[in-house]
Amino acid sequence: MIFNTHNKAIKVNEVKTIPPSLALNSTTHWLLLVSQLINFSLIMAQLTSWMLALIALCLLWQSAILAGLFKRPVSGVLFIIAILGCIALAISSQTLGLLLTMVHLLAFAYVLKTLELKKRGDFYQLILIGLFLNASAMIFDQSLAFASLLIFAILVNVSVLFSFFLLHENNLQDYSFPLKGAAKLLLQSIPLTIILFIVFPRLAPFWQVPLAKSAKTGLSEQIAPGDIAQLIKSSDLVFRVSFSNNTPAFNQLYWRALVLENYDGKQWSRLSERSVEDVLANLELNPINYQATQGESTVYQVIAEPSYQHWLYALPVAQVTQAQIVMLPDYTLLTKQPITQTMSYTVGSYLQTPMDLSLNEGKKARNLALPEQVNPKLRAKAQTLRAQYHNDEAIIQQVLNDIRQKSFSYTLKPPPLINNSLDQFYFETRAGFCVHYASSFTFLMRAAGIPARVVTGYMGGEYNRNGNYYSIYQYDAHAWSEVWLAGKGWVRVDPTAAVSPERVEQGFSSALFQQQAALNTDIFNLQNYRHIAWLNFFRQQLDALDYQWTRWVIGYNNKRQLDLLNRWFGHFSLWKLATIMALAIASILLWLWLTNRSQKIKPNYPLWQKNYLTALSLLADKGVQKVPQQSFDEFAEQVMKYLPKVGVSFKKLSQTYKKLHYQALSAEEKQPLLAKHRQYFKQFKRQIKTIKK
Amino acid sequence: MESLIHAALAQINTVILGKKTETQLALACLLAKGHLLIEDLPGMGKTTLAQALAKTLGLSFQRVQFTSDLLPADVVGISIYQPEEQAFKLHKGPIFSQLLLADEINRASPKTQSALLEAMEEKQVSIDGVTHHLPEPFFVIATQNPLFHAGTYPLPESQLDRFMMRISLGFPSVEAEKQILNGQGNGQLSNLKAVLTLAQLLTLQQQVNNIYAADSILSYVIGLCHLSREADFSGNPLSPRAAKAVLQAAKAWALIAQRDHVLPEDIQAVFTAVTQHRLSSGFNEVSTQGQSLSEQILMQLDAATF
Repeated sequence: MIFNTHNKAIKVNEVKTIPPSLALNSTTHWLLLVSQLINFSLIMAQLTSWMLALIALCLLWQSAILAGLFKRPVSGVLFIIAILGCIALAISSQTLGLLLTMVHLLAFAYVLKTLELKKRGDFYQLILIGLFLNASAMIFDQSLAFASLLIFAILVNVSVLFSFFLLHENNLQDYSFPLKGAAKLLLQSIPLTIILFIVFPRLAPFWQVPLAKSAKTGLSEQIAPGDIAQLIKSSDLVFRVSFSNNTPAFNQLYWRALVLENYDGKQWSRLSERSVEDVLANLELNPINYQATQGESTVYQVIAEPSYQHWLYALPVAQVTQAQIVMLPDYTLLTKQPITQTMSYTVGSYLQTPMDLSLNEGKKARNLALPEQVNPKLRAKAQTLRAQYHNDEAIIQQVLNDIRQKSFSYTLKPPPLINNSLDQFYFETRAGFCVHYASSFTFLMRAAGIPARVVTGYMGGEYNRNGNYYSIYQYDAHAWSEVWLAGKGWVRVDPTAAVSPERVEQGFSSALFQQQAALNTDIFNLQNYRHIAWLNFFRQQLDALDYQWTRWVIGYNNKRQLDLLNRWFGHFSLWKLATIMALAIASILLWLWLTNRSQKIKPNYPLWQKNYLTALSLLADKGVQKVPQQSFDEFAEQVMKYLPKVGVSFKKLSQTYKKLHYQALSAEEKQPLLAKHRQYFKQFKRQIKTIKK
Repeated sequence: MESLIHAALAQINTVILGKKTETQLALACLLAKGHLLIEDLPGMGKTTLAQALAKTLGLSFQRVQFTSDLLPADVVGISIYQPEEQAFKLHKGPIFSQLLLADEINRASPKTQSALLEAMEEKQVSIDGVTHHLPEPFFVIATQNPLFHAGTYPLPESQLDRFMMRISLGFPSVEAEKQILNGQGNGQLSNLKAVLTLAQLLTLQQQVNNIYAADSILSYVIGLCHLSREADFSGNPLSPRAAKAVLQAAKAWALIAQRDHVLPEDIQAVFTAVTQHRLSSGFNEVSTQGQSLSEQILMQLDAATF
């Protein structure tokens, strides 16, 4: 159905068009309500509780109106609510951040617009806002599961529109029909979607998308014994890795994220509290000389989930070529922008290459520094060890043996420590997890005069056979030590391996998983049901599917697009692509415009009628409109009066049209008349162009 | 031939002053073989118009004044026993004429009205079981007073539908009224001569049928009628008979305009007269509602789009 509102001069038979005033039947109304519920439930996680309450109230109001309990509110009431809501939003925008404020505003507009459905235009606007809300929900979650939910939501939204059009065809009571129609429509749009997805140029946005002010997840820049326990409760995905060659053994999968060199007696932290900008600026001033790499590299692709932090995960010694990733002197990786969307990067790691064969004095001092008067017992122990052994490696072995032989235990629920005292852990409780062991070990090493530091990151990962990749979850968070040995550089020592070798050999044991599951309160998380074999299989299949989705759909950026198009069509540049797309879109628009025009003037009209109608619309543009019941001659007189420039030619055009259209003429009679008519039409068009409005 | 029509029109216009459109519509109605209903206040010249038409067209003319006690037999005739011949003899009523003027038709009882209206459609009457054909041509020109007048029986829609057109003369212009007061109008009625012979009239009626109506004209007429059949239209829907009447009247109008084909303006010219009494119903008939209903329809469609 085509809606022509601008051309009032030619009022095409309006018998089948929809009247401008809006009269929805109840089927459409209820479907609309359902679609709104679905749309809001998808964005719910991002909305504050007062906004949710407001939305619930408005939806209840709307259903009460539908049920006939209330009347529609007058626009004044809506206006006041809108103003109040906007004020509330403005007040809370400080804490929400720009992006979330905008999302709130959108949701607010969406729910208020429902109460103000008067015209057809209002209805279209409402549907459009709903679809836009759906699209903006995609900013916050891009997983396959969420995308499927979104597609369902879009289906419902489109079916509302569908039922709206259907109700003018016949009196519709059936809910399944619009749903079916919308599903068909969506299916038909799939090929176009795929083509656009592959080909449409992914230009950088013209403006900066405001960042979601979301809580940072994952590892933090400080760590104290007991901290990682919070992470271990969570079974959220952190990143996935697929190796393309030289897959290392499981116990080599130490994904380094942060190097913590500062110890204040309670917690370990990153070297000074410098911001990322400072770190980057410093790097530019003092570029690092990297160690020459040795051996073969292990190449793998990492797809990191959003953490809203800058730290990336890699095996040592990592080399990356992506521009937005920099390598820090401690061999960790950092992105210039925080990870707010799923991010993919490729790393080549040289596992055999030593880190920092030489250590300057400043660095050495930093990695030996210990605050006074903390953990005196450990300090004393270190000194006896130092007295006993001169060889650094012997001291390390001795400590590891100590941990192995004494009654240390690995548990996710360690007894609490007073003041984070490592003494208390090492000599009394002797139960803890990685951070306890790494902290104590590093402390001992430093006290014994061996440069040492704590490294946090993730250990191991779950191998997915279907997709040939590793998934690393939050509960894989790990902390270990690195000690610097002359001639070997930084060497990784994981004291946790001494107390719980299976943790680093196979990852979480089933006993640990049960512990972890008990800590995790989310009953819908499939991770908690690993012990049920078929469910675990099902979970892995789902995970593999999500991995492919993340890798190929979410990770399809402009670089990949260009690679793909280059492979298919030969040389392709971004601008070439953009130009071709712009041309394609322009031609489609032109085609739509032309068909729209020719639909306005029905295609089966004879030429003279088309010409006459075109002339009418041209005249209407100049302000002279034909009233429907006006006769052709009367109108020609009117044109003669108001637009004398075209008067004569229009009169002749009108007369020839009348003859051609209404007289019974033979083909021979028609021919010369038509020639004249064409001539008059040309003349008319030429003349009307010279008239200004 | 066309000059005859214009001579006839000119002659009628010497009697009915300043009403060129109305007289032309009345003539078009008769040329299209339709019956004519003239509705107006008393004293507006309804009867004069009917008489002028009859005289000008050279038709045998009868007039019946309808009253509430008029019986069907008074219109169609009755068989009366003739003692001298010892047989019943049919006394034909005024209906056996070429042009019947049914004056103030809505003052008669429905029984009498329907006796006349049946004859209008069938062109025959049955008296005592014997069917009598009415003369050819057969026209009825009925006049009626507005419904709000005392002692009127409204014509049912089905019977209104039998009239091709309903026209109103309306008040004359100041100029015309002065001429009437000077005695220039009515007085000349007796001087009118027949302009057309019967044969010429029949030929003209045949010519109306031969007028060409393009397909787009038919679509236009149908489109107009369809509008009256929409659910949200407040008047009565137009029947196919009404659509046919519109086209036929338009053809007659085209003939009077000396054209061999119908133009949309012909449709527009006759549309109100042909449809107004069909669209409106009952007591709002006398208001301008019927008029505005048909105009509403005309305003919604542009003939150029057909």
